[in-house]
Amino acid sequence: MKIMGKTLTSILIFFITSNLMAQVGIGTTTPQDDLDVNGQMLIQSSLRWGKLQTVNDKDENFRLLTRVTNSNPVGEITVLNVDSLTVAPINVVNYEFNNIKLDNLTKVNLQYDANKYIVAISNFRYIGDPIKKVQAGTEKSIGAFVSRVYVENNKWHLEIRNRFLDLETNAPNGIIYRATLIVYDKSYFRHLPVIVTDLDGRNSGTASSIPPL
Amino acid sequence: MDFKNLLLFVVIFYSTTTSGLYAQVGINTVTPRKTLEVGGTVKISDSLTIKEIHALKDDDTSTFLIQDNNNFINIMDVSNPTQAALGYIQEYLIVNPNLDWVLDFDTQVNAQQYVLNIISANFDRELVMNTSGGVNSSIPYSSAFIRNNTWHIIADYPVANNRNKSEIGTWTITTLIYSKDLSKQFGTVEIPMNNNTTGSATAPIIH
Repeated sequence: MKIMGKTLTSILIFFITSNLMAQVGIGTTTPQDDLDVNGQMLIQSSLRWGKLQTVNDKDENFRLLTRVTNSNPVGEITVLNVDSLTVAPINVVNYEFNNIKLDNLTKVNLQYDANKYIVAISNFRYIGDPIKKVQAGTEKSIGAFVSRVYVENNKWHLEIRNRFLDLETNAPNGIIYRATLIVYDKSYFRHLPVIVTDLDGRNSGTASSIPPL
Repeated sequence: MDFKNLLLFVVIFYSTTTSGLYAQVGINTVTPRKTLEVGGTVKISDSLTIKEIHALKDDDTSTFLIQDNNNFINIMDVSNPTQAALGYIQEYLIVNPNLDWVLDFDTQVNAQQYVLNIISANFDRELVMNTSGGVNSSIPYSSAFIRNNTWHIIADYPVANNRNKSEIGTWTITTLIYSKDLSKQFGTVEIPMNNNTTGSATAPIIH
């Protein structure tokens, strides 16, 4: 029986080498390490790793390890290679908005599912004509310029505009907005509940709670 | 491996291989599903090399692996609210500051363990310029800084404030918080511009 023969050889190797280096091969008769498994290995309970080398600062092409929770059996260890994934833990997308009605992006549905992703806005650029101040009594109003992302009906939306003032209708160049959206996968990042703090008219104070980190 | 374990190993080895199917080995299990299946815990005193490891696929659900202080390999399960995540998005609503002015808002987030970056900030009230008859203009800024080992936030439209002083304003400030175990702090880089508009760093911070 072929398999038995192989088995006997393995055991033989086991005994012979145990006098010297105690190397064990499973599925191999020439173990390269103390234990050499020529195949897959399944551990039902915990795994402890005595010497785990640290990644040094010269290593650039290291990959993070992940544990798959929908494999059979559960727990296959895989590497996170962002090139083989459509969605990475952090996704960077550039946007340009042109032919805008005056300065107003009041509500743009970005379509990202708020149950799966957290969206942040970064690298915002305003290119074009200025919004002129307007007289407000004895003072001049600059309105309030807002660039933000927010969730509505479980989708991420974008607002970029001066909420109180408008670009003049005869502005020669108009406005282009550019922004980079950072889309975080909620499998790795957690969206914490909002912390509301009332400063009661003061310019300093302490947050009403500490985020549960 | 002591003698008792060795014996167990050999016995189970036989029982599984004489089934005539695969040369599979079980330790503490008589039905190994892989070349080696351990029905318990594994401790590797030295290193572990995995020659063939699959890449995570789009339809996989997964968690990261980390090693704790006792060498155990643990998962980082973000779906469990009491467990750690790679990073956290925390939105702060700072209600009723001194008009539009937030000079020092203490988040109480530990600066020795975490980095806190502002990724978005906006104020919801109309502003007027309060000096020089309004000829100046102003842009908003918001910044996170460390004081007394916690992260603080400053936010303001300099020399501007609420047009209607009786209206209560709110800053909405979104922050990204992540562990210092995952990030490196490089401090401050000062680049003298010598009265020029273009310049260069003397060396890249990250090679």
